[in-house]
Amino acid sequence: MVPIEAVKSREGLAYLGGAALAFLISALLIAGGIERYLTEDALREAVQAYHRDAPDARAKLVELKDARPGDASTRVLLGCFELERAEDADRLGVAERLFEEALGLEPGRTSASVGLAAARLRLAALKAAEGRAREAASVGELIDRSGLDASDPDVVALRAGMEVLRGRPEQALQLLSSPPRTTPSRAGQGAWHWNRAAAAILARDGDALEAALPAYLLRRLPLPAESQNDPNGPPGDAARLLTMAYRVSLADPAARPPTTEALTQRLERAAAAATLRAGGSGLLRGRYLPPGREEAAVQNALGMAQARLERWADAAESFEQASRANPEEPLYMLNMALARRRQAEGIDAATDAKGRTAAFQRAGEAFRRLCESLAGKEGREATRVLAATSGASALLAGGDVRGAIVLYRTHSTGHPNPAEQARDLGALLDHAKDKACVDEYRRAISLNHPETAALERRVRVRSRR
Amino acid sequence: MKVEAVPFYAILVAAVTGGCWFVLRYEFYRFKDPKLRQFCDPEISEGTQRLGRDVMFLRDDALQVGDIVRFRTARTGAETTSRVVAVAGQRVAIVAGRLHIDGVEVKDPWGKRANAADVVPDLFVPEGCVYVLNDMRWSNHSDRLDSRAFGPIPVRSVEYVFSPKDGGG
Repeated sequence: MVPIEAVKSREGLAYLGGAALAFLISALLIAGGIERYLTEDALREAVQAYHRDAPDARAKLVELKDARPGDASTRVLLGCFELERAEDADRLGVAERLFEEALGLEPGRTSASVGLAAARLRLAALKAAEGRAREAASVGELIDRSGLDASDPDVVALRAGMEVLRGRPEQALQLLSSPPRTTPSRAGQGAWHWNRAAAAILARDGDALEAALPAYLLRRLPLPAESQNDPNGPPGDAARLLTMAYRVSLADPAARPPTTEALTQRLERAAAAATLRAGGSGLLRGRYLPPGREEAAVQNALGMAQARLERWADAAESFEQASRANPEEPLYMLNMALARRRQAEGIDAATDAKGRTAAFQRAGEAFRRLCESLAGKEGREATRVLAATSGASALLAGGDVRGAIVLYRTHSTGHPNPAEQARDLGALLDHAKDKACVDEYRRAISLNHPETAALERRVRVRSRR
Repeated sequence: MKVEAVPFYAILVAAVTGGCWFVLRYEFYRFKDPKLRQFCDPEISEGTQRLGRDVMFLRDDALQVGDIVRFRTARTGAETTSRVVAVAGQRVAIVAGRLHIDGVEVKDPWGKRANAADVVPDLFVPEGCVYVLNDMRWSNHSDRLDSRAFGPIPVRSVEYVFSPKDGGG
């Protein structure tokens, strides 16, 4: 046996000693490597679970944090996890405490400072206006105390967020005017685009939608999932941001582009981003179309831009989709009916009399549906009367006099100007050569209509029929 | 131990070590996707088996353009497969259906059937992420299953990597 032979001589002992030492060192290295592997494995698994949004991601991160009491990075990781998923002050508070713990363990840690500033900014956003500005300013002091690099994209995004919360969107836009020179993290880039979109919306910048699209693309969850926590509650942040961006870009008079071509370009881009489009197996929602009531607002904004460009058929289609997405809001139905009416007016009677008639009838039908939806609703009388008046004139232009009379008679009750109502009804009956028009004209005269003289002449003429 | 046996044992140890390394790093993966034909080269559909590289030891910069990756994020909701077209630090733009990297149009060898009207915002690929696109750019809802729908994906969300060469690995 080699060891027995080796101890018989000094050389053998030396070789044996050397071998034993080498073996011991190797064993220690292997044991250290295995321990490091297992430790790194736990970290690796936790990080992967975090990025894959595994169901046990939080448990793994908490376990990792508890297993490494002196490690700031685990607290930063868990803090980022909580920050991404926080929807209320409680969870934001949890994230804030984790980042504070990380800073307590490692005072100069940049990621902990940035995370803490982000958590406090989001907490500030939940406060009322006065408190919001004050809290945002305190975040600025935190950033200054932390000695963070001012050119760091994450820091620039934070400062822009501060300016937005302080009600200074122009300053925020200036900070975010040029893209970051170094590559930020996904969360950092998301914050950069988000703050830019928010600032553009507040500043009523026509490029708000261009800023909002990448901001949404970098969100953690897709649109429907963001809004699904409470189907009857307020929509998720991303849905609200996108909706406001569409509104500002397309329908806000303050953000109106200088030329028709510019508006057309903006509209085409927005429509491609939002519209339902044909896919391999039927219609697909646009990638940037928020669900529910927000969809209605987006479709309405598209319709407003199309109306501005006098594309009445497209506008009517957009308003109709808005009305389908939110049947409770009569504004969309009113817009649709008005667009149909303008579409009808644009058809030349000399070249297409039938088409013009049919278009007016469609417009009249739209107004009728609106009147029926508003019937009996408090506070909607003025809109109903307007719809009845416009609908009656549309049906009249479409050759349906009787329909116009029925519509107006049924839905003009509660007219703010009874003399006007009587005169209009009289005019409609007159069109139908109905003698009842005389009674209505007389009623208008008794109510001191401004055109009393003309009405009296009509009464005399109609009475002789 | 005889001196002549040393090379034998050395080869044996090397073979065992290499085998362990191979088992730890690689795995035959059978694709479960329905026949979407998202990829053209190599063609991958339901039942295709490829040698995939395990990503446990994957560094952030280990993925290359052309790699096919299998990943899962909160945004995708399920396992999704796509091809890397840009890595961290690169600027990606899709203009009129054509891929541009860092402002230069790329002769994209894999992309088919793009849609010129598709709206995709320009983005820098963030640190620790890659940008993925399906080969069939506009069929079978493929635009819903790559970075056009959910942005760049974190490298750490990748579960398997398949190189563009046939057979993978």
